[in-house]
Amino acid sequence: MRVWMTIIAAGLQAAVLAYMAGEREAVLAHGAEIWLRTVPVDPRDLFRGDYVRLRYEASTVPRERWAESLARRGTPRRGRRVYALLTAPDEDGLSEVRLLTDERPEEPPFLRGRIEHADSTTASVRYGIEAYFVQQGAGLALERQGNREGIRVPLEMALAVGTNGIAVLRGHRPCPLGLGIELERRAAAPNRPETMTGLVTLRLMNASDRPLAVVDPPGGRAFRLCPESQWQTNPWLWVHRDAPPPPVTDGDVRVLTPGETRTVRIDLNDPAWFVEAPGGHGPRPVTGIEDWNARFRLVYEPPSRTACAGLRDAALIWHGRLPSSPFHGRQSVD
Amino acid sequence: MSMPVRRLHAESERWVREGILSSEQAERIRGLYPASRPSRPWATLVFCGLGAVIVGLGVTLLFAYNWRAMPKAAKLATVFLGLGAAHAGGLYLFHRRPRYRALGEALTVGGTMLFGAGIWLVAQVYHIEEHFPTAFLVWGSGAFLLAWAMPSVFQALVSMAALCVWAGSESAGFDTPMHAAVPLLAAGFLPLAYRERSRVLLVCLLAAVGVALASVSAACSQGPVPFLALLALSVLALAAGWLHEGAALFPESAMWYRGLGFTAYLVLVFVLSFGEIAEDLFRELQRHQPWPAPALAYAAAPMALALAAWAALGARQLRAPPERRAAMPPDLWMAPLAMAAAYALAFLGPGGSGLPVAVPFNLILLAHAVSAMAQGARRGEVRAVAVGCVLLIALTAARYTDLFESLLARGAAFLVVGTSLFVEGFLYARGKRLKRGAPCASG
Repeated sequence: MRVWMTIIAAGLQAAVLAYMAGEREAVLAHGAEIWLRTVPVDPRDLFRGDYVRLRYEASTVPRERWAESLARRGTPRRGRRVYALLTAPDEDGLSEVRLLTDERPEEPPFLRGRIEHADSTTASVRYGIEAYFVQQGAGLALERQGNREGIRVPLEMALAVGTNGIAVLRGHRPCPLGLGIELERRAAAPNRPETMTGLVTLRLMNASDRPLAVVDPPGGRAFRLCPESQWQTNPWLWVHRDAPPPPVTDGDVRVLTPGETRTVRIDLNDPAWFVEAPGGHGPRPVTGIEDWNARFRLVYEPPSRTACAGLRDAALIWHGRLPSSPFHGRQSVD
Repeated sequence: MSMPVRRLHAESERWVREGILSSEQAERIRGLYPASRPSRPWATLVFCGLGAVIVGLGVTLLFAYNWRAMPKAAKLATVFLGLGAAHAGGLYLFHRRPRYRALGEALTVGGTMLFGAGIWLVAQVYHIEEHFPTAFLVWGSGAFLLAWAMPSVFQALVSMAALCVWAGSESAGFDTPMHAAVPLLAAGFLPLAYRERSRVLLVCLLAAVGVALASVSAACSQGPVPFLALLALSVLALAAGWLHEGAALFPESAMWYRGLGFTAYLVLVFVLSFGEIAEDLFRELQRHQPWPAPALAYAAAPMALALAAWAALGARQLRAPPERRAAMPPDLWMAPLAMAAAYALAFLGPGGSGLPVAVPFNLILLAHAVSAMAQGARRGEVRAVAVGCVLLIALTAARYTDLFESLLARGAAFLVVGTSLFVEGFLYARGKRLKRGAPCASG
């Protein structure tokens, strides 16, 4: 009897491992394939030894995409199980989160995750796919691929998603477009620390192996200034956050050959790039904000396919959403 | 068989030969001190087990290199084959080859280590980045099943370590108190320790329960609740030690309960002897009213158990005839009083500030020191003398900085302590002489 008990106990250990592997194999074999784009993360944490730490655009879900059942219970508690319903894949196979709910959906595809942290405006979700293990030394190649002369080229991850929302990483590819950001600094006087002047240089690079077109209307209006919270809610909002994108002409479209870069300059001291906050804080430049929590990203977001339909190089235009590395008014790029 | 018991058995035969005792009397004496169970071959277990652990780590590192040349199926097959081979070989030796039982147990521990490595390796193969404390829970549970099925103390130790890491990482890393951790550890491993009469397992379990209690109570409460809970646990262990003295069930545990309990109790009361620390601790709880229910539970439960244990001990002492009472030093009865004082000051407020708050605990420590020194001197017991002297010196050194402010006071204190130690040495030597020269009791 005791012998059988020990055999069963030892067998259960093997059964646990078999279940873990079998569940993931089933997802890989029968799950729906989707692509998710990663967002730039702090380069100090990008690689930890032999694995790549990943963070997705789908990891941060604004409140307007919360389901009512989630929103009405106040700020979601850390560790709470949630489900992210996904949009249909676009041309590049990329999906985004269209709704975050705490009730298990009936129709896939959706991702199962847990709340990492949340405030009144944003929920950060972990889906169990935030680590990508690579062979020792292979991480360096990925790092070079993801950061070319200061231009961040995000990874796009291929996932197999099961009917229960469990996702398994299958592969990766680089995003066709990369974005680099530089903040100009200048010392106000000799022996004084450098401060941000407000001039921002953005570089869009064709990271693919085929011609790619970007949209660059005057004033850098293909970019949007988006707030980001770090420890507390960032109350500062771009004054033109609700403005529709400007109409574009053939003259605003630039075709880039593989490896070619397009430079866009933005002056954050221009009132068009001011930010405002509730509670009597009138419009002001980002450089005038001293709150360390007030972080921003400049997001390249070209007009929709419909808006570009009549343009000469419409077929080459990359339609996606590409955020820069975060920065804040205290002169740093994180 | 321990050395004193072995010697007693040998000497009893000599006494019978020399006519000092009859054979029946010698048999009755030997019956009072039976030969203990065969002890575990710890050397084999430790070295083989350590080797198994390091092999498991080596396998983990090899896979962590993540050989691209090794297909996924090969990696998984290596994990399963390694796990199967270790457990199969280990269980065969454990159950079918009594001579190699220890080796078999060590192999199964290696298998359990491979199970833990396998969890991480499967996660690596499939790029799983889930809630990592769960991996320790699964690992510990796997070891727990084998610990009971075999039974195996070594598996139990691995399981306890993994479960402690689970509870601690949930509390510290995710602010999620695992309320099941302490009862799980106690209910899961205490019966096994008693069943196997394993002092190693008991000692490790007491330490694990203390760690889990402190980490879980810290995650769901503020202020001194973890401190109070540990103090109550130490007082409970002290009572448990005396309750097991001479008991039929696991009497070998008495010394370990007492040793761990008294040591932890002295350390914690020593902390409370510092006025500012005591005041901060006691005021902290007042600042966080109303007290959440989990905090009250973690404070109240160990205290209730400790008071019940001391009540049972007191009842047993009163019921037993004087010649059969456990030789408990009277000063130990201050332990539950110290616990009650700490709880009262924490929940009712210190009512003062600085050193006066800590006066009761200083007096208690002084009483323990004097009592240990007196007992050691009277009985010629060097251990009691050492404990008493160290405690007195530590208390004096601690008060050097906050009580004895003037050189006169410091000088006087040193004179008193030095004289006490001198006299203690003399009394101890006399006590030991008397103990050696005391006539043997005749049959």
